[in-house]
Amino acid sequence: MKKKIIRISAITFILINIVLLIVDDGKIDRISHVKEWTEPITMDMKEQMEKDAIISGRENPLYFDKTVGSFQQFLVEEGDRVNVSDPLYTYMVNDFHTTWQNISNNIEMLDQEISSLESIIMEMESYTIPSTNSSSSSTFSVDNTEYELNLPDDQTASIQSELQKQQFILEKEKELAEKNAERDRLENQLVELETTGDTITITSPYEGVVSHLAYSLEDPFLTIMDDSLYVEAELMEEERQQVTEGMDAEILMEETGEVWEGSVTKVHEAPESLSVNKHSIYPVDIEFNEDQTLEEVLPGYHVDLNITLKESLSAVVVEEEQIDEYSVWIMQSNGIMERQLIEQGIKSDDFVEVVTGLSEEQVIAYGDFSQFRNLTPFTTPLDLDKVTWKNVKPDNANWQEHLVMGLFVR
Amino acid sequence: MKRNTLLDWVIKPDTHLERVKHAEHVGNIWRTTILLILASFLIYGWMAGIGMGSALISPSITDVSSLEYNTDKFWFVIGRAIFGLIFAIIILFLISYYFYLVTELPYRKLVLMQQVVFMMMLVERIIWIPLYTYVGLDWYVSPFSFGIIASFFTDIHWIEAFFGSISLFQLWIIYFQAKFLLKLSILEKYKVWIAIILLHLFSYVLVTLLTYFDKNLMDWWF
Repeated sequence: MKKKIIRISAITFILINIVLLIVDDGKIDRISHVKEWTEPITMDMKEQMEKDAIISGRENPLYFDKTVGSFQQFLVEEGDRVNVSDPLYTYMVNDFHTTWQNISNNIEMLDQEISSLESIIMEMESYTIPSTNSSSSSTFSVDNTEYELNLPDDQTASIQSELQKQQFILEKEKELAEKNAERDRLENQLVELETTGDTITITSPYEGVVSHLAYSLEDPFLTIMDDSLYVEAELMEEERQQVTEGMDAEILMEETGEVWEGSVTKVHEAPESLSVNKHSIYPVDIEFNEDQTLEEVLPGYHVDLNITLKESLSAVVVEEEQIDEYSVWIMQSNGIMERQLIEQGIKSDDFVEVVTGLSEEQVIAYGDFSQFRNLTPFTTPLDLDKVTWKNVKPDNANWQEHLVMGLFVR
Repeated sequence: MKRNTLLDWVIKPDTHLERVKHAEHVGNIWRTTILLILASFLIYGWMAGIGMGSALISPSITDVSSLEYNTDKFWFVIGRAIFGLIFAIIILFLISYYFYLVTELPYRKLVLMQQVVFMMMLVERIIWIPLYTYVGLDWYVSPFSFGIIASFFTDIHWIEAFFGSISLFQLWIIYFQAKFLLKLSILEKYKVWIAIILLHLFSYVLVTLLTYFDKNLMDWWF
């Protein structure tokens, strides 16, 4: 009888304690048992969008004005490579005089443009950059067109402005060459017209490959894809909102493993087709960075594209599994666990950027989150892997203090 | 006597007690003693290896390198294991001697009694392990002790620890020691009880003092 009472009271006692444990809201001291912990990593984080893309060449369409004459024949085929001034097609003029006049007028206009370009170039070459100490803005005009140069104010800047000047000259000389070439072509057309009396051969103003040729003469009836390559991709509606011009992009060719750097140069504002029922697709152009070399790369090659949407350099980063819902568990320097809400930033693979709430010197606990209790002391187990005689021998370690601690702690 | 007879003490204490009382000479107690001491050494070492009781080292996790931190823990474990060893010796031999002085019973029989006592204490400690790693409860708030109830009445750590050291296991030990001594000795009942209770009270106070001075002791010593 007595035994029964004792047994029952014992069980009741334990049950009471268990109930108290369940209803406890902090009165009972707890501890947090931490088996895995780490410091956050510092790394650069990028949020990237992966897309399939294709290498394109710039397409230069040509049109045929039927009022000028009647088409005779093509002198090239689709897929032919053409250089500047290669003959493309011939046509018979409708009216000798009008055509002749047109071409001559064009040549005259070109002559004017050429001479003005030449004088601009001369002026720029003779213009010396003053080494002033104050910021000044200089303007000079040629043929009623004003050109303005802003000059910054120090020695390194004057080198910069020298470079700017040279760059300007180079651009203008390039323009000049193009105009001269155009003029020569027109001159040739004129000569041919005068010789044959009725035919004109149009030559190619571009260098590239004939990518499209329409025997039906539907405009644009001839398209030449030139050698300057760029990358084209298609963005869905939601994607388009995330991409802006200027973003860095990585271009990867899977077959060869080559990687190039580029940037987004144009995000088209109009979709390829407008329809309520179909997804809107927006083309996006990515150009290769200037220093990139492209060898054996042809239009039409498929590539993988990684557009960097957001970037955070030297960010404080933790692994996704180390985050407990929206917080991390910080092991503070006073031996107490603290649950800290964090603001998350860029996510990449399994890594997550921590924008606020955690700094790189702090230590966080992870693993079995059910063992962590807010604002309780934490303890960690011994890591046997790290115990080697070299590490623990008395000369190296603060052994006395901790041995005694082991003796007396309760 | 083999180890499993220690369990007999719990299940069938009366019959065993009779045998012991009438036994002229108690058999070899050394094997069990050594086993218990070894077990204590290992259990305390194991507990420390898990991290129990190492809360004083935890604050240095941000101050020292992880290698040094781990080395500190290693020596803590060694210290704790040695404590387990010393603790076993005290319970098995010192307490027996105390009772010897009080009751004048054969020393070896008293050691036998303490072997049972100590086995129960080890069982209690083993139970502390899952309580710690799964429920996050330290020793003084085990559901077998009065520590939980005490926590609801006070926040003072040493009071919680005092009541936490009184547990069902402890009560059983008191009961067992009383039964054993009363059976075997001709000493007056009240004297036996006083001796036992005094001893236990003294041990609770000692534990409480150690808990109270935990941190301060370390700072003072070093």
